[in-house]
Amino acid sequence: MAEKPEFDAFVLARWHALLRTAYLLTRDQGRAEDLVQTALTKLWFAWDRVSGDPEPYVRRIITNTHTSWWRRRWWSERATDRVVELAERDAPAEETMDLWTALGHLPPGQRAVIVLRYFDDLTESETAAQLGCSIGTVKSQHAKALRHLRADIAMEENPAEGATS
Amino acid sequence: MNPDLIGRTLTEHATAVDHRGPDLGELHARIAGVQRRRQGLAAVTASAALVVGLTIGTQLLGGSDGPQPAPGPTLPTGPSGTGLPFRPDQTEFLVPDSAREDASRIHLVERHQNQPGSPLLEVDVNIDEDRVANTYFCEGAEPGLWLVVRTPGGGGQVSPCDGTRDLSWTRTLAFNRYFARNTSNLTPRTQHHLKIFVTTADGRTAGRRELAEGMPAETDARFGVSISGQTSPTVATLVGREVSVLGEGFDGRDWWFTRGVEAATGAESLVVEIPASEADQFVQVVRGPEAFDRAAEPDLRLDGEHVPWPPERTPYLAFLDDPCTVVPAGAPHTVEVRLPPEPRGANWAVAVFEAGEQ
Repeated sequence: MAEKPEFDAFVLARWHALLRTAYLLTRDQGRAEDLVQTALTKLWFAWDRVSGDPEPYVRRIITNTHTSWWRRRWWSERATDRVVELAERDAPAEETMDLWTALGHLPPGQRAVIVLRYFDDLTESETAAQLGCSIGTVKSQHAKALRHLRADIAMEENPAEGATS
Repeated sequence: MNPDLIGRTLTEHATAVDHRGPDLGELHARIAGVQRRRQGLAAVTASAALVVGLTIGTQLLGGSDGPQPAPGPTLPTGPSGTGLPFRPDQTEFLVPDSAREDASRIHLVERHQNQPGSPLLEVDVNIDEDRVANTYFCEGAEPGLWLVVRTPGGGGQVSPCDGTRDLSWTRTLAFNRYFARNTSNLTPRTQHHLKIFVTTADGRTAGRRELAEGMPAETDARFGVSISGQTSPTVATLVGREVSVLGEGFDGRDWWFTRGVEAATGAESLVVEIPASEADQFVQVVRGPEAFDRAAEPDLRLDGEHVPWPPERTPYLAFLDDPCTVVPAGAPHTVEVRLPPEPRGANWAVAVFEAGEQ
């Protein structure tokens, strides 16, 4: 395997940031690490062709690869050889848990838009560039995601109403 | 749906991610495996193409001299042309005096401060300079107040108000931030929208929402941002970081970049002999980008004596993220940097500057 010290330097510097985004997409530490490694492997083969900052490129691979995984669901029962220890922290507020649960119900495209807009704080145009789609698509995915979240949380708070609506 | 709530929820869960790694060995093994599979596929493809080609050649031409096999996928064969080269020994370069002809001085670009009593400051800044240094400041604040800065693209910072001060209205500039890199959250030649506010929420633990909710109705604090810039060509790249030829110190002197020394790849130390000079010199340790956010502490030694870092008292305090020291004129000196073993693959260097006019 050819030496690419600048690639290694990029991995060392940006691993944690990429892992956090991947975790928000996959909601599982093992899958997040797998997703980032998969994306970085693809980046390695493209390294000489990438001009400028490689981070937008690899983030695009992450979101696209996650979407394709979700479509195929091939990882759904994957075993892991190690137990992941999450950092200790206070339990989030109940309303936050509800929202987190609702975020998990979003399809991958909508979830990616929400993560990029609200966690990575990207603009609509930056999100579109990241996902390789139009700004109009970002807007519509964003609107649908918020609609789903509202509906999910409303159903959570008032199951009877949700069941009859 | 409250955007702050969404952001807070995502941030809270993202911080729960285990921060081990990365495991470069595991990643390299994975890449090698994919590469082997691709090469195997290429060989199979080439063999199949050869067989097909020979068959077609035999059939069409009536002989065994068939066409060449179709090419397989292109595989990377050599090292990246953009990476830092392997250095068996430390390498050194000198900056010619002619580089000083294009130097420009550092100047204050913009300074913004909150309206008296206001807890919030929102500004658009245009940066036309090649290099930028900025200082967020917060003075006269009541105890426990935190300063929050939010920049486009998800960047920003939170710091206690009593740990900041505005130095930029004097002739001050950050050494390594000027010479070696720009500040982390403002990009040169770009327009930025900055949102700066004070909050009573604990900046060490609060999420984005709590920080915003902790904004008081009014405050005695005076806070804002000072942005300084320099339009001056890069004269060298040191472990991947651009270095300008001219910087200015808090003492008001010009400091000219004269010499860069990069450590050997994987070296445990970097030794630089400084000849006797008529002018004071300044040595700055420079870390490669791969070690920016890592807790790696190089040990700078001047003539065998450890240089305390961060120093208790220095005119450069609060700007420098790696050790540096003034090397007095009049005698030769030896500078040694003992390099940390982690992160593996990190690149290190020292930049040497010479004092100019007062």
